[in-house]
Amino acid sequence: MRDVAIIGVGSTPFGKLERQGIVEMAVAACRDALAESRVPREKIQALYLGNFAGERLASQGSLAAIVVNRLGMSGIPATKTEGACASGGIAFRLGVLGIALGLYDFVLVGGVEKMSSAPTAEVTAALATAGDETAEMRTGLTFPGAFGIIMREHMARYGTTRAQIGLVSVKNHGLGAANPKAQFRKPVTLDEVVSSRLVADPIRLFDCPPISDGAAAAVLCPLEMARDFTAKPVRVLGTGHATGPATLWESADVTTMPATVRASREAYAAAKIAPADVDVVELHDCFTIAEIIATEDLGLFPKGKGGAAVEEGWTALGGKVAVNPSGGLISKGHPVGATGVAQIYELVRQLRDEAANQVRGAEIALAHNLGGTGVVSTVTVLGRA
Amino acid sequence: MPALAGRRCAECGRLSVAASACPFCGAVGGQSVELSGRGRLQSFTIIRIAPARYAAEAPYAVGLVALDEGATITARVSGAPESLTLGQAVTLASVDARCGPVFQPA
Repeated sequence: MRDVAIIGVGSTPFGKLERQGIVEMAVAACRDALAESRVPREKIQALYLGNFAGERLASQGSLAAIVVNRLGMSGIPATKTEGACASGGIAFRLGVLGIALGLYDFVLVGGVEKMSSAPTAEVTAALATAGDETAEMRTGLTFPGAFGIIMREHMARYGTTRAQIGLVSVKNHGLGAANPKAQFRKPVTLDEVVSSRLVADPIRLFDCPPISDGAAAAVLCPLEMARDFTAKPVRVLGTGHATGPATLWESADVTTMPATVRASREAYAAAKIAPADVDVVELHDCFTIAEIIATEDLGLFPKGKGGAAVEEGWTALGGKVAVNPSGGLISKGHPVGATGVAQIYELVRQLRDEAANQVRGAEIALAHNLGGTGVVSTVTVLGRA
Repeated sequence: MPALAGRRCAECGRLSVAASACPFCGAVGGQSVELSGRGRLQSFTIIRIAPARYAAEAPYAVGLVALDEGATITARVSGAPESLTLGQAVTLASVDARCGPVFQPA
């Protein structure tokens, strides 16, 4: 297995991009990544593109194949990957494996979602298809609702407070304010968070990410070739990919995500590092409580202590481990299929000392992508080459 | 009095609620178990922004019900949503064709 490097990244801004279609956004992000990589387009040998709901929300399927055409790369294999909100992370991992296993030398990875053209009730229904329809979602449970059930249990079991959970939103909005790619560029106060509109008790509006459009992309090649293209290649140190329970009722403990635990242990083992070695993390804050749970499941803090960690400032930019310097899903936005690759975009910028909210001296970075209520997760560990 | 059908899996031994095969290991067959419909509210949420098909019914509560027999089910809980409390005893009230079993405070 060869070592893999990232030699170019690109991202559209995230937001309600009314005049931009789904194919157009994917093409734009891919072109930016290609330009940065300086790889001529005829050298790209495969595209892996993450997308969750293109058919339903943008009337567009067959995305990967159409995008390679619009990039002037018709002929190469193109694969659309789906794993709910982990669609982008899965695309990235497959791209890495393609190079590591020696199938390809140059791979383009992307992720895209177009969500703002559909009414909210339709977006809510589309997101709910990430859950098990016959076994759970037919009850009328929504994704905010599922995390409302999870949040209530985490608070009851560990004493995690409404204020601690709210501080995740305050932190992430504060960071997003400085990120030119972020959908929300305005800090919020704890008071605003805890008095925002109820979506699915106890989940409130500012506990949630927005409905977003956007795309992100990356160019990968073998580490041994990377310096022909860039002075600052980023090295993929390890990846993990795992599944977990598909519904809340089949989970032994809804306050932990076994898929995150398993995928992260696989990535840590491949990278030969421990959680304490990680300097900066882009994790899946699909809701504020999801960030707290992820910091525990990734082994950054003990079980039940994630709330205290954010309250103590341990996950702030200058804290023990910087969590979501981009502003996270909550502030940067969550175009579902793009998110996993957008996390890679931010972490590559961090490891090149080019990030908007730069973590000083960041050496080891971790991306955590999660689908559904934990049915699938990918974890990626990156380092300087 | 509506009944809740359960299954004790012959292969993995786990108890589950109304499915054609064991949701944990996929085995078919196993033993039919009639469940009492009684349980406790392990957790719940109140859906205020609903998917299109249930928009007219919002706000409504959905809970994780820990049944007395040891299985857990995700289900609608009827009654005033704001009056629900964690750990509260609930019983099966009805089975709706669209949203499945509906529980109510005991």
